[in-house]
Amino acid sequence: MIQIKNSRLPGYLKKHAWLLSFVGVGLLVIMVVSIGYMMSERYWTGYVQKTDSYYQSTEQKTRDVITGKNDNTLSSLQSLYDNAEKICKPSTLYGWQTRSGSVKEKQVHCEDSASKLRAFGLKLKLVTSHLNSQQQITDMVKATESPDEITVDGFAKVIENWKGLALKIDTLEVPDTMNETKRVAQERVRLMITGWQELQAAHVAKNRIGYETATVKIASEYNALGQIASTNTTILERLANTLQLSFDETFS
Amino acid sequence: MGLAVTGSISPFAMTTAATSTASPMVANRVMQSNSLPEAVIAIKIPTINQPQWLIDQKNAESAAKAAAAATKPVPAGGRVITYSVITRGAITADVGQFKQQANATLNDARGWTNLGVTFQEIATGGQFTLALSEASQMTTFSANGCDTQYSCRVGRYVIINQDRWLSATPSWNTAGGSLRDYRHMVVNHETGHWLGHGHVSCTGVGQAAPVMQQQSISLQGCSFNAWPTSGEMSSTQLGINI
Repeated sequence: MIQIKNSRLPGYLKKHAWLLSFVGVGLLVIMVVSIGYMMSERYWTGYVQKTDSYYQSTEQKTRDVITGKNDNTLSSLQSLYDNAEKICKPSTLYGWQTRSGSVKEKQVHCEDSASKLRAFGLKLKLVTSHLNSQQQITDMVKATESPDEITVDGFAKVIENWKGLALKIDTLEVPDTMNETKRVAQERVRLMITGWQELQAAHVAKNRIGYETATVKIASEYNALGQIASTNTTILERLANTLQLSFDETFS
Repeated sequence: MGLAVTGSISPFAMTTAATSTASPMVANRVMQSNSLPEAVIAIKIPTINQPQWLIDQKNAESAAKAAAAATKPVPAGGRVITYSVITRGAITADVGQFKQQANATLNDARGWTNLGVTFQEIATGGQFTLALSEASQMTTFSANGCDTQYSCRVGRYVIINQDRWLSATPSWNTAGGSLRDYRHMVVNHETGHWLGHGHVSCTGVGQAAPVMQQQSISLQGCSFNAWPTSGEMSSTQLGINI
């Protein structure tokens, strides 16, 4: 043990206790502030990197799907845009810093960009909802049996098939963008049913003029089925162009 | 006062700079998902086989027309087109009947005689040669211009495929067309090529098919027709344009 003899230190400490306490507290405060500063700086650097990465990643995934580099569907991208709101929510511990200074500036930039992503996401949702609904009608049309040739005995079955399609389309709930396509599909299918019914009636009555007229009408109705597709294509083109504009605004 | 991070670099500045290249074709990608046209196109109008009562009515009508045509005199002073008949390969069809029916078709008042011509069969030579060929021998007339399935015309040869002469085509038969009408059609069609006509398409749904339409393959919405239409009544071979 080292013994301090006649040391003045205890007296000095005793004499300057308040001063030393003050200096100690001051040093402690400086340490806390410095650590807080460093943690804050680290947090915001990470925040910027995270939001930056999210934006870049979202753009890249979108480009990959659009260019076919990735086989995923457009709708697979939806969640990326739906989650865009979450990227600009700082933790409660540091969130108060966004009220002023350069952090506020970063937050504003982040929210602007998230807002753009959300806007694109809304347009994307319109398109994907339309495509999903369109696919449902496509599947219904594909499922409708269409024989290569038919005798009079098969007229009833054909009418039944078209009536089945009419019922499916009638009960299908579609987004607003698909309303017109659905309306045209309903109209065309109903006229198709009428054509076949007229042919069947003419056959039963052995009405040659009626039979031949109905045959021509049916041929015409098969050609007119294309209106369903052309109506949908017009609407889809409009949606696609709107999405293209939104994409350009968001990522260019 | 907050503990602000120094600097004010936009969090997305790098992203913007890196992706300022030409934008991908979003619109094209969306349109690639347009599945309805393909589904709608896949729905083909079925061939509607004619009911027996309609076939009977049409046959009675044809018989009446043929009877009326038989009494119509050949145009006086018209040009005479001579032709000879040959066969190639193993022929099981009645050649005498072939000659008689082909001549009747060529000189039918509904046919090419409306050009102001009559067709006369001679023993050899003539302006064209009407051939009845075994199906497998069709390509000996021309490997490219003929096939074993259908009839054809090569130069001066108007060639009738024996299989078609004997049994028409499935689409013709399922549509209720008679064999005699098919024979009228195929003789008129191939002779039409010799007269200078190429293939034409159906002019409108429900209309009578031009005889130069490939009715053996597809009607394209037209109805079967064995005779040249008024619009086809010309011949570059003979220099006739009515």
